[in-house]
Amino acid sequence: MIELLIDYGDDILAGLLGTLLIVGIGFLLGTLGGALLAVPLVSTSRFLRWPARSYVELVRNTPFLIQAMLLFALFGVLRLRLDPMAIGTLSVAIYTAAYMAEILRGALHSVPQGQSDAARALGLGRVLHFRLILLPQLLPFALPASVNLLATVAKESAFLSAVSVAELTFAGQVVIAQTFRVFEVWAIVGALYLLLVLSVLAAARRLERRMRWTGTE
Amino acid sequence: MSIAVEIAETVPLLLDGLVITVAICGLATLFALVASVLILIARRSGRRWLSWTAIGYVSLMRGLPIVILIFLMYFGLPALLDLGRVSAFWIGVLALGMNGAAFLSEVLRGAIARLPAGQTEAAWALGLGRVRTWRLILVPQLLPVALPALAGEVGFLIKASPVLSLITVVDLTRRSQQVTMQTFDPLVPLLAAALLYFLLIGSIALFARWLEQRLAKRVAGR
Repeated sequence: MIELLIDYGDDILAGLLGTLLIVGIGFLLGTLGGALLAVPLVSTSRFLRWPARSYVELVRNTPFLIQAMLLFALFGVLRLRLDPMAIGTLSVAIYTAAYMAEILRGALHSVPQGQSDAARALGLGRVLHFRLILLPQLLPFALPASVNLLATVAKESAFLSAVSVAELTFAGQVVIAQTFRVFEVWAIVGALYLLLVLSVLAAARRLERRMRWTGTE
Repeated sequence: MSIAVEIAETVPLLLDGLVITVAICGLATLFALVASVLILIARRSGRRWLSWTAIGYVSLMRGLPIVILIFLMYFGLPALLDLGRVSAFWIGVLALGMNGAAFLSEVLRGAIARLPAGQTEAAWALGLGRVRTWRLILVPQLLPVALPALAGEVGFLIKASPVLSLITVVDLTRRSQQVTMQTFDPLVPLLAAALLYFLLIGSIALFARWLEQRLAKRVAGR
């Protein structure tokens, strides 16, 4: 196991870096997309709500691998040339946006409507209303849930190895093809995922505890 | 319009794969149900090594991607133990079931934690034994949580099940790839598979929600 790490440690670390980049950038983009989707999702207008709701349901009720494979096929059919890493990142963003939109919708619904009427009556503008009234009440629910989502996304990203994206699982397959050390490589790769995902989950639990403290004062 | 017709023509080719997907996920759910109860019993046993093993197992399943778990079980362990070829179908059932059991045990643990402790004490004071306390008092209250969770579990496993295609199981995902290779059409077989997954997972999600509301009403109405 030691000489495996000495000889191929760099390849595995490069794969880990790929996973961190894809998940990090994809998750940030997806969070942005989720925030943009949450607005029509809580709208009272059916014409605004319906497209957003369809997107969320389509993504949440299909497997991530199928979404990624569809995206790659789509880029192929349209003859658009894009780096597999970039398409992988995009598929992470598409996935994240749907779940994030649901988290934010749930958080927004937990704030009573009367408060925004009251804020308007007090003469607060839109920006101030969001910053002073909405945001402090959204965070205690949305922040731990988002970090939990990050852990899920990190785990799902392993599926991207099946469409040849250079991430951690793919790096494991490459090293196995060269060394035939099947068990050791998957044990090392598994340990790295475990470390990554469990530390993200631990952060989520800490946030949950802290937010509960400030949320119920 | 033509793409819709193409999808409609592709769907029958994929149905064999769908049957495999549903069969594995159904068996895995049964496995998960039994295993999750065992995990709970281990966790509440009061023996430290047992409860710690259960906690470690649940953390392992929460932290490990299902892709890596199934690679370890299908490629890694047989190589380590020199087992030769193992059945991809049954490794699939086992891996999905092991993963599902950890999540199901967490749901059940949460539900048990919400039951008032006074009920158990009252049951004991009435002279009900441990088994009868569980059967008559606690389990009937757990069912409204457990049954929708079990239905949700099937959907959850189907969403994870394309992992089977990575270990040579001819499930819905792999079947769509086979159709692609025969027809040289990269898009339509995938779209048809996505449609089937969507209908399946979506209707399971609706069923789970319906069950939850119905059972909640029934408990509240008593």
